[in-house]
Amino acid sequence: MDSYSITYTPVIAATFLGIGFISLTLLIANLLAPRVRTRGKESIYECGMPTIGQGWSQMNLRYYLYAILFLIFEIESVFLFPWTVVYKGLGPFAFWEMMLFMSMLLFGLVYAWRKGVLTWE
Amino acid sequence: MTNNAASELTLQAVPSWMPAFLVAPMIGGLSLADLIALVVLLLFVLNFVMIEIWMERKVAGHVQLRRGPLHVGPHGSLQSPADVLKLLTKEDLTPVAADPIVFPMAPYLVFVPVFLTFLVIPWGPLVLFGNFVIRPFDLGLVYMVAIPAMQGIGLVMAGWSSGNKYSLLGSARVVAQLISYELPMVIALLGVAMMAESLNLTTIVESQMKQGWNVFLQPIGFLVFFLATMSEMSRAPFDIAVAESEIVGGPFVEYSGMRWGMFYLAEFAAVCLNSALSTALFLGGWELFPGSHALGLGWISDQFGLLFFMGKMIVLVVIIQWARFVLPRLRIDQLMDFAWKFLLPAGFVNFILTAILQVFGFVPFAIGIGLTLALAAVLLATYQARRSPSTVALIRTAPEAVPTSQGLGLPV
Repeated sequence: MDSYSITYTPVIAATFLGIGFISLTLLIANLLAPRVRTRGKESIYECGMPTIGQGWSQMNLRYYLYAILFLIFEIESVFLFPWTVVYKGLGPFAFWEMMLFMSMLLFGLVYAWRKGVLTWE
Repeated sequence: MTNNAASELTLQAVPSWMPAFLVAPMIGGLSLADLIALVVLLLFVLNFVMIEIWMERKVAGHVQLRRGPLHVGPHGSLQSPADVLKLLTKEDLTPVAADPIVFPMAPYLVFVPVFLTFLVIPWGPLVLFGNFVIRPFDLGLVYMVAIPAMQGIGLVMAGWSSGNKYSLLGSARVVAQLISYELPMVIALLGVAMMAESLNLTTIVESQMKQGWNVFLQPIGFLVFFLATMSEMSRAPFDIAVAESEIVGGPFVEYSGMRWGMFYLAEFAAVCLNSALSTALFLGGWELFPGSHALGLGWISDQFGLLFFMGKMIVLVVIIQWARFVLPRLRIDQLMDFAWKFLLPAGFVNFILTAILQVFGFVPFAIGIGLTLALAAVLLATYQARRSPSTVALIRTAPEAVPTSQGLGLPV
């Protein structure tokens, strides 16, 4: 394996370590804790009242427009990361170029704002 | 360039005094020393979380004119271990309506990403250990944005699989909050990357020793990053997603015992993590005070860097805890407005100002800061003027506070 991939192998090891830690703790808790099953304990919590309808009730996911905006901006910012690293060597031209790019982004934000997308109702 | 840098840094991280069998690469280039370092890191996180919970209860106590935990150990300092023992012996309930596969999986997906992100933090330059970091990732900045974002999936899984209306509501709010605050955070990080011309956190810390701390060079970026991460981990005043007084704990309503403890652990580990990241990215990492390397006092930081890093981190942790008890919770629409209409534009301003500083020098940068402040003043003035006069009048003519007895806030 080349040195570049080796840099990231601790991530895999740490993943297993984290999973192992949680499993071990839950196992110990499982051995120590009492287990008395009653119907009341296993019902869904709803302010102490019997549940009305299902837990998976219909709801309005109001954030979907934010999510679309998020996708656009997040992808743009991922493009910007490599640019920031080499930016200083590129000089003023890169600055004006990026200002053009940013102004398009900001125009999108202002447009969404004026359209009322950013208003939570 | 990236390949060379990686190999250099990897070599640099291997100290010379270690016996050969410890540093000999085993499977996948991992050595025994690496594995020991990972276990030490996990133990550090667990212990720091316990100290942090005790600190938070003390801060809460003193803010509210109480004394906090007192009885278990000196000044109540053994309260957290006692709580862990209590949690271990608590019954672990799984409600009948819960999804049998997703429900037990969620705690793993909430804690593991937080722990993984700890790998990237440059703790300090202990001379013996080389740069004291598990591995200096070249893409550290991208890694530290990408990995914690997986936590959102775990929270949604927890909220959905519980089969509870409150937790479902909570998970919907978690998504809305996470996607809104991710953006300002990333935009603020762009400024940091531009200052250091690198995405490697160790390089970023070292560049701050040459140029000055980022908190002075881009104060707007620091504010945006700090507030956005505070919101990312659902800390008060941005804790509408887990608001215990209305949706009784959000996604974790149905969790109990140690399984609930895992969510709690992840939340507090995230506070530690984000304080450490703010320290490394903006507060100069392990440097004692700004400019100490220029004054020839760099050796203090080089010898005892880990202590200074921890000190700055703990100060940030206390600030986060303090904010929880003195600020009222934001409503969900205020929360979204704060992200999209305040933090995001502020992040863009910071980005543009940093770009000006890097290419055109300090004078245009200073002019830009002045213009920004002027613009902010104008916006604030217009906002004040546009507030409906009736509201202002209502506040002005509000009756005096109820007279209190003994100054304790109790009505007579």
